[in-house]
Amino acid sequence: MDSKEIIRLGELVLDGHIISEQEAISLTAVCEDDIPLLGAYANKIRAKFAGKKVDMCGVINARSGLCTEDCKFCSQSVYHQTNAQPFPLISNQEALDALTPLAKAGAERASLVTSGKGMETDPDFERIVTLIKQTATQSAINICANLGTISYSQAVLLVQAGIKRYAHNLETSENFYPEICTTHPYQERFNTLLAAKKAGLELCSGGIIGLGESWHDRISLAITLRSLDVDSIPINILNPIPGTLLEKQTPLSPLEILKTFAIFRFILPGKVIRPAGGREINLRDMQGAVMLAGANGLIVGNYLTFGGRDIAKDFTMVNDAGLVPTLNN
Amino acid sequence: MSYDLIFTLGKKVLNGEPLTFEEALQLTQIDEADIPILLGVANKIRVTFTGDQVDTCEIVNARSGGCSEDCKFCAQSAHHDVKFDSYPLLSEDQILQAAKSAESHGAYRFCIVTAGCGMKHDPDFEKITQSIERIGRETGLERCCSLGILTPAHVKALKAAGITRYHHNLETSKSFFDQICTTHTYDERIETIKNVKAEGLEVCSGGIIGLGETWEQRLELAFALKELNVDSVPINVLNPVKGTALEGRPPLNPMEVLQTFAIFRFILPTKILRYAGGREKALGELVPLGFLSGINGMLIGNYLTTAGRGADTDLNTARSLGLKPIADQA
Repeated sequence: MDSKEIIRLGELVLDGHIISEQEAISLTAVCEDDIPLLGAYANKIRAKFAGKKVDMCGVINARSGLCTEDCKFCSQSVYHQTNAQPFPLISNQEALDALTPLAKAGAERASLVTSGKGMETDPDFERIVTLIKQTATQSAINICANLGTISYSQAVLLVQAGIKRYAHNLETSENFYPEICTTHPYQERFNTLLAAKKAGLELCSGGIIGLGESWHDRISLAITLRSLDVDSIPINILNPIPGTLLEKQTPLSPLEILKTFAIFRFILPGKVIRPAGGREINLRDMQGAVMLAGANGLIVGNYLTFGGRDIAKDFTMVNDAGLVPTLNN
Repeated sequence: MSYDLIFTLGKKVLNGEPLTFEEALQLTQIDEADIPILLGVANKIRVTFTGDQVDTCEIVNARSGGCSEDCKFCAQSAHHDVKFDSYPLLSEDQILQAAKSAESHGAYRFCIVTAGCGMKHDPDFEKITQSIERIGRETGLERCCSLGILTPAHVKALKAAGITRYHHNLETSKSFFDQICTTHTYDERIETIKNVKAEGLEVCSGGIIGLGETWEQRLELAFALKELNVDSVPINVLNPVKGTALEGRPPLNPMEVLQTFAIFRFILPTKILRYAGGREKALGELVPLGFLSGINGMLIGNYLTTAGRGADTDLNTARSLGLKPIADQA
């Protein structure tokens, strides 16, 4: 593809045009030397529709491992033998302790994440609601929840507990999903997002790239997220954990990752697009570059079962790129 | 649309036409949100005219400190009170050792650098030429040196010793130079470069940004280098060393540093633009973006009096972006 096509589509999006799936797919044919230009247009689109703010968010693993589901990338599935240590629901104090370094570093949000398929028949749900209620009032950070599939009535309870945003990834395209998970259908994930939205929650939903999906799958994920009007899109990049089925998956190149972020920005001009788990090992020292290729959010601190990097480094990086990290109260 | 201009000028350069000073100046005035577009076009120019090869060199500080000159940025000037190691010329064995270590790091070129104004009446000159010859016998490195001001006779002797390229920065623009150095003139620097070129040697000459110069002065430097038709242009970014006259100088904004690289690439489309000292401090995690903004060469390893981020890190960054360090192919 000619660089003229990047410019043409970039100008259209800047003028408010909603890019079609076909147009987005045409961008995937960009030659490697033009990826910086594609990233530059994504940056321009980010600046125009989302401004300079970068949404800084941490995650707290509030209950780990022993998950009944078979998502192939996940170190917490009972189908995989990994070194990830399972533990039951953490206490109120443990949650506050985990939030402290995030709050201190200035992160605006943190998500309480529990392993498991979802909350419909989960005996911990009531305790989780209490945990959220207490942490939401006692911490300076905005608390989000990431508890798997939920019903509408549970979403309402979460709203009452004080959260504003629910995090639940679609993970990949509907078409590729059966290759990644066979124990629950895509539709359940989709329904959870609809239920949360109906209850008035903002949505944080994205996925994971580098699973072996095609460009069509990646674009299809982005288009689906656009149809759901999600607010924030975390993009994880596979960290192939030994013991998982994808442990031998070939990593994506940093330029392909930059290209993915840029194309997501073309599709989702005004949303928060958030580099998440796996960014350190896959982007290596191109983290700063992604902030100028369409990204405007970050998961900071540690991830669920593996470490991240020093949060202060991410704040400096965002400032160096001329962007403004969001802060907590 | 204000950034139309970036594409218009980019196309002009890609078509092989030179940029005028006025046009380059317009590129300094673009919106910050458009800087990545400028970088993307500079990247395209780099690919078109220089391909995916990255030139790598390593330097040795072969004689450090006690310099009679008063360059305001320099830790080695006798006019400054800076804490660092000052020492006389290293032995031939020590210099050879440094060269071998550079070769093992993946450097393609090796540059012997000495403190001081130049080689006039310098008793070390002969020892330096002997070291150059020995490196030629015992390594596969391209040899380069940076010894300050030279006469034509020195150039002949260096060429005979096996030097293929000589390094001598202009540092900044002619109009700003006297604010940076008062102990020798800009014209003396230009004369040295001309002496080197007259002998058919390649020239590596660039400068240092963030000294307090204006955009116009930065461009004057780029156009002076273009006029001299130098082969390689190292761009240092001031690392304000404590004890130097510029210790309190505020750092450049990282995006401005990248913008400078890109504009230099527009002005010097076919040359080697070389990442040099201060980049780690000035750019932080945006260092790798230089490679997508027009840079196609780098000093690896350490600088004269400050540390770099490690040859492996830099080489791997380049490789991860599909660039090919020159020593990988040699």
